[in-house]
Amino acid sequence: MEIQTTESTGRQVLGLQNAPFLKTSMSTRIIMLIVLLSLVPAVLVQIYFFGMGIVVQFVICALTSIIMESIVAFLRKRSILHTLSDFSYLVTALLLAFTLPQLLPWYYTVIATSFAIIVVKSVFGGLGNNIFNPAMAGFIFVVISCPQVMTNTFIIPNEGAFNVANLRNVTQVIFNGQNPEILRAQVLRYDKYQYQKTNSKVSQDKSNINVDSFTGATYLEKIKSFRKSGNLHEVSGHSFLDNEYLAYLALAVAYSLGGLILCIFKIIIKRMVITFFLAFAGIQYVMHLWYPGVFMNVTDGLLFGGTMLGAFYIITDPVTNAGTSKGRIYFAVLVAFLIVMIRGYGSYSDAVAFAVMLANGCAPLIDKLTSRRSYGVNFSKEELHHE
Amino acid sequence: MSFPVKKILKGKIFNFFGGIKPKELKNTSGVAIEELPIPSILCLPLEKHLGKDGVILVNVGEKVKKWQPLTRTNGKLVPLHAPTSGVVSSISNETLPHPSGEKGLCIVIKTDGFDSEYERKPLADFENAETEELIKKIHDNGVEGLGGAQYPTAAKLSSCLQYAKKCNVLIINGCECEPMVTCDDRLMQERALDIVTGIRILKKILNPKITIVAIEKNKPRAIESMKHALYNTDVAQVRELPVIYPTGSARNLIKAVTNLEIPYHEHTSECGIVVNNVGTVLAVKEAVVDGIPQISRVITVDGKSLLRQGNIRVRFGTSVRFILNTFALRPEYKQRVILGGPMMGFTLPSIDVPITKSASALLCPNSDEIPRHKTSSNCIRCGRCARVCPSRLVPYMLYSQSISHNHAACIKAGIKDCTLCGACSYICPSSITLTAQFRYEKAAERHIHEFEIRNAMAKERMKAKEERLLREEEERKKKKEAALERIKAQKEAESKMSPEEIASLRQKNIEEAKKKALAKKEELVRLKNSDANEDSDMVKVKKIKDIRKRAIDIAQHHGHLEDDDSSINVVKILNLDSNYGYIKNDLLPKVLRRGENISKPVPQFEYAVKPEPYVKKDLLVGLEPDDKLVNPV
Repeated sequence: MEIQTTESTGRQVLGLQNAPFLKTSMSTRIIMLIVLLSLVPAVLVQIYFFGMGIVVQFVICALTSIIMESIVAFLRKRSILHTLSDFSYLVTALLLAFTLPQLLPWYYTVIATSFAIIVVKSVFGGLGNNIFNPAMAGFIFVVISCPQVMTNTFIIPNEGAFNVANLRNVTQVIFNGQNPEILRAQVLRYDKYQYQKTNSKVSQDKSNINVDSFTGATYLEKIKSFRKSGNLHEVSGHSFLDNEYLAYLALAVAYSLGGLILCIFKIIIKRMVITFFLAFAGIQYVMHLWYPGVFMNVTDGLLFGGTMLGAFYIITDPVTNAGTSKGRIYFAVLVAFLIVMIRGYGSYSDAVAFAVMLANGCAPLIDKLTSRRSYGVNFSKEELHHE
Repeated sequence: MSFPVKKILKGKIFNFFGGIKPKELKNTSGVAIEELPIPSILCLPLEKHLGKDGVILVNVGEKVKKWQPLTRTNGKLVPLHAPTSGVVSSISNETLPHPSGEKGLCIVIKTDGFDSEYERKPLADFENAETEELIKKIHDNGVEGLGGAQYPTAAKLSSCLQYAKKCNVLIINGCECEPMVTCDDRLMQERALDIVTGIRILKKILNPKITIVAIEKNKPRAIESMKHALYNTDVAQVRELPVIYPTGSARNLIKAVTNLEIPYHEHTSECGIVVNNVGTVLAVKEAVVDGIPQISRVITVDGKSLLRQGNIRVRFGTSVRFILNTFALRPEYKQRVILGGPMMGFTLPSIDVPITKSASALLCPNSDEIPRHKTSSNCIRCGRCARVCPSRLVPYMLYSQSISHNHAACIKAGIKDCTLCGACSYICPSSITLTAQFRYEKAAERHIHEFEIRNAMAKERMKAKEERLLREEEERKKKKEAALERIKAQKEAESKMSPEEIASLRQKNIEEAKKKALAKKEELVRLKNSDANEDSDMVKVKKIKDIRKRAIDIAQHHGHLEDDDSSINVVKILNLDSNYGYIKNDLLPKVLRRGENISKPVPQFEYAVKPEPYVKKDLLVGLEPDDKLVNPV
């Protein structure tokens, strides 16, 4: 006769869990919220200098991304609520809103966001599995498909632009297909000190605007023809305290403030950002010395064209950059080099987006080349006992 | 690179890579150690005290005394000792303290409450003793590491002496980096002088160049106490280490103290560095100076679901249920009972399991104290896990390899270096259960290894079988040819003889065959009779009967048994010989045999009277009755 061992027949009443039982409070959702909140100063600066366009664009982007994420979750038979609980799509939407022109018609924004969420992110397996940065990819999709619209709908910054480019005017342009040139001209002519007196005058002048006078949108677009012909040094200099350029300085300060918040919460790696700035400044300085006709100077390079946004928010995106900490530093150097080069010789002036996309493609290779040394790799027992 | 003795003596604290800073939650560091009463049943798992050719020294029904050895082992494994006096009530398969709730062979002792002592051999004058004698004493008294790995201390010391020739650094590990656990802290506060004696014994054995007591900074009272005990002596130096989570892990501690990175495939003791837990050092002192075997340990009992919290000295084999009853558990819905610390412990599926040497804490937190896990979301490759991993691994890459069942890539990425410390799971913002996946992966690696060995063995067996078959076939062929020739010769002979002669020859052959068969039968009967000598067994049974009767008397005297229960059986074990029933032809260690279809040989029992079906009665004192614990007695 065999000994009987009584089998437990009752149901499991004790809770079972995997070790470790302790957990940090920092979750993906909180990280994304901090990123969103750190961008608030930049949003305020945008509204002050560029008008309310960014708010409308963000709303369009956010709504589109929520709908697209829900559709994807439904098709993949995932919990929609769980998919929407991390706010990563909102960060993508906000970054898209920053990069897209303020007066871009709504259907372009919707197309850009849908492309970013569906093709770039979800097709590769959703959050964390995408190869390319969704915001940059969405932006580039629109830039390549319809470059003319991108230059036409960009507001040239002016102090107090939100008075003219207010919510009503902006929605008129974005949703009702009004000519964006009129609003752009209004913003450019607007003088905040005379606004109170000549408030009524502006609307009267609407018909007299010479639309053709506004060609190049951003500063980088303006200097494009000069750098193509190698005569960049002939462009007259400017001070960043001037009315037109103050906006870029303020934006840079706002992005830096946001980046500082991210550094404090240890969401981005300080080393990576510092390396990026050092590499960018070094390469830009040397190239400017050698070919002043093609490359702009360091301050211009840093402040124009979203370099600051890229440094703090785009290249630090953990999903699409290299995995190892050493690899991230090489990644930053590569992006800096590509930005400088594309700004010198590229036919598009949106160098940051293209550079980030190219570096994203290289990230797996960088991962492979910069694998971490294993623990105690140089240890030798025999040597240790040798006297 | 010779050993950097001077550099270490300067007292600098080095940094090791990674590490986390979880909440400390050490709210029992001010509560003194109390002695737990003796429960009515002790269950002692034999897993680490038997080995391949170990012997169980006691039989069912035999009376044992406190400190009496219960097993004899060969090699590294240490013997098991009875934690208190009583009667061996069964040797059976019981639930082990394991996250899966698996069962294993255990000795169950019904205690008698006398706590009567077995003889012991104290050795107060250890300074003049031989090293071998001291190591043998530590081995015989069953001292094993109390830090969690349960590695036999004597084996560690002798491997250091054997391979490293001389010990360079002896580190006494009082870090206790696990949150909530305070048992080592309390030991250092209360038994500092005994610990110093233990260090002296270890120094006598190892003769190290440097001796360091490493304590984390969050235990100021323990540091003060140890410094006081070591005042004006040159026994050891106290090092105060920063509070980072896996400092207590041996390799990280060595890195922090000596700046040496010892790879995971090397044994630290073979490199001349011995790390011992303070609890182990105290056990060494007790084993050598007092001659007391390791029969109890200090554990921390904490958690807000308990009425009170504290540190207790608990005998091995005490049921978790008994401890929780003593501390008045007030369970919430799906209460978690964690054996071990909150980082490396595990939840128990059943509380009817014994406390063993590897358990350092028993925690019953409620959901406010330690929140339950959230559903995990996708990895965002933030790299936090890689920044905190003390083994310099990249956990999220390992994880993605592991969930795609790419075992070769996992080994290449260094799954063998993973200590399952849980730092990556702690820090992960997406709540991914990295450590659980790595635990699974390690088990899978073991399984694959086992499979490969089994394959190789099967191939060998197959080869041997084919050879045998070939040989047999040849033999058969030869036999057939011989037989054919014989028949041919016979037929030729018969053709010459007359029919009468043929008949008589056949008759003769038949008679010869009959005689042969009869002789064979008689031989068999004789063998059978010689086997059946029942006398010795009868004597054995009588002995067991007597001991059983005496045990029942004592139990009734103490009120453990209410009335004269004559239904208690005399049990005879059928297959209990000197080599207690482990598989004799096993070539693999036990770990590798897990998936195999060989069932463990269970002792066969024969009852004099058939036992009645068990009826639940409140017979046991001190332990809430549970049908899982009661043996078919």
